[in-house]
Amino acid sequence: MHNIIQGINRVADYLNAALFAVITISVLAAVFGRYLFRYPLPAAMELAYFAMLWCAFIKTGQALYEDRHIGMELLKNRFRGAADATIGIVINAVILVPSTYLGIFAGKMAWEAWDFGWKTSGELAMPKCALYGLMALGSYYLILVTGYKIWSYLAAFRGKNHGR
Amino acid sequence: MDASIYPSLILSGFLLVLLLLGVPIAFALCFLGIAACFLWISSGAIIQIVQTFYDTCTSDILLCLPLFLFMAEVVVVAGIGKDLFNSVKIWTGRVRGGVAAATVIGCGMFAAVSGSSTATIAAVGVIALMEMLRLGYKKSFASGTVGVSGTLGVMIPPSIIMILYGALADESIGKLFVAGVVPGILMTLGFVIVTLIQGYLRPASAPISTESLTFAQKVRLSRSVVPFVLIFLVMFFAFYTGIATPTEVAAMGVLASVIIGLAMGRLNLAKLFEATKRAGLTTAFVLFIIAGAKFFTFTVSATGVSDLITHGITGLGLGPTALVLVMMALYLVMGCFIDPAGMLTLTIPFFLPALVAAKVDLIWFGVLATLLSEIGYCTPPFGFNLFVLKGVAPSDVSMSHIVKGVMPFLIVDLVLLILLILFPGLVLWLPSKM
Repeated sequence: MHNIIQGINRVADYLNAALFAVITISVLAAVFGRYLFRYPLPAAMELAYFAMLWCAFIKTGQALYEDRHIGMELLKNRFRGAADATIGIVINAVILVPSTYLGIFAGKMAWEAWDFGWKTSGELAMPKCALYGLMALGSYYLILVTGYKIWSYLAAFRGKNHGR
Repeated sequence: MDASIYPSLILSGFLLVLLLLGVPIAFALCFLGIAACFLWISSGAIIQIVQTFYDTCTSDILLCLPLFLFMAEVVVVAGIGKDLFNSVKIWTGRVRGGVAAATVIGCGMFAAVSGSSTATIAAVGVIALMEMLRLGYKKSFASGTVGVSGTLGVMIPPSIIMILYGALADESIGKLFVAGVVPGILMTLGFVIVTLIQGYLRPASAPISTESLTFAQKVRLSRSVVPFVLIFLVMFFAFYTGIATPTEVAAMGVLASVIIGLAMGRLNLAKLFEATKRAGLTTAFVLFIIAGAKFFTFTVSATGVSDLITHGITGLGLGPTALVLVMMALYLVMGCFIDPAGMLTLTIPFFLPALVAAKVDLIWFGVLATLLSEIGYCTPPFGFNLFVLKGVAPSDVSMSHIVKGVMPFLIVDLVLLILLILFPGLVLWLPSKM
């Protein structure tokens, strides 16, 4: 499982790099279009907004895996052994709830958007199923990471070390 | 007891428990938002979580966030911070405490192209710390200077904390940036004065650099600062002349730093990839925090809890200044225990209605909150910068050295806070000219 997550993170890194290129180039295209050629490109800015959404959802699972999401560490690092594992399980169980709801509802909205052929308003008219769909995928990855972390903590109870 | 107070008590209690346990703030807020939907609104309202995340992550005012983060990372991997510090050090090194002053000035200048405290420490602080320790600076003085100088990245625009505040309070990020200029300069000057006074009072703690250069040599060596100046000028003219929005300025900053990094031969695809990786991670968790806070605010408003808190605050009968002072005191305490981004996320949704009712200028309050965030980065036991610095400092620099070292600088922060409260014009004069 650890290797699968590492693999997904590597793919996410490449996608993220491409999205950063898209964001930068889109905004620059809009700037130069507006100021140099007097030709505004609203579609370019829209593309940048959607790239930011994808970027957030592509990287959030990795951020969770690497413990980069901000939280208080007042008690977390003070315990060892079973107490640490118990707290770890509780933390990840809490994270699992919003991740699951996000996954379920984003998936549902992607499905409906696909069914009804919804598109974003504005010049780009991006299919909304692509936007919600990626939010759903990002959320499923969050679920996978939290599931893996819970499993690792449970293994720690049994004295096994699964990549932690 | 009035039954309407129960939701607020339950939510606050659970929020505290979750945060103390170590649940990431973004997820703790979403979890409680979902619980509030089930308990007091309707389970159907939970679907709002998707729309909130969608709206936040496609928000036009937040688009500058990934770009500023990317630019900061590019500047870090291109090693421009090192050049900056060395160029300043050439001129101040022969003064007692001068290398520490160069650290402050270097970090202050670097902060003008980076919105992050961590990036500022990584780019300038680490090199400066090694140099000061090599020269025989006292560990507490050297590490304290670096720890506190990193926080200049929080106040001097572009600032990620200001972007966060602007998104939460729905205030103009451009105005917030401009409002941070005077306090940022005053703070840099204050820190420089502290380093020079410390050098004067305790000469043994701040040896003079042995490097002796002629004026012509100094000018020649200072040329390495040119790339930084170019990036800064591109951003300065685009932004402060008002021809571009913060997002456009950020994109131009990225372009300028990439071109300059490539021209200097210090950037390649691998380094750019590394920069996007780090910027992507930060973008993800900051956007999740903001979205989590917005979802939580939505549910809290629907339960009536936010009205209750607002009435509770306004019911205290405090005037605008007293209200702001109470909030600042709370931030001062919270900053010791919680990350500044989290501190703002947790409080702004509740403070905002009370501030609006008291007719407090939200730009002024934003700058004060940013200053308190900056202090929070350096106050024990959980000052973020203290840990970042401990992580990169040599092993013989202890946490107590760092904490002891930052204390004199925190006095400057507190004096500046009092000045900004007494004279709001220091903050509001520049934005009023926009």
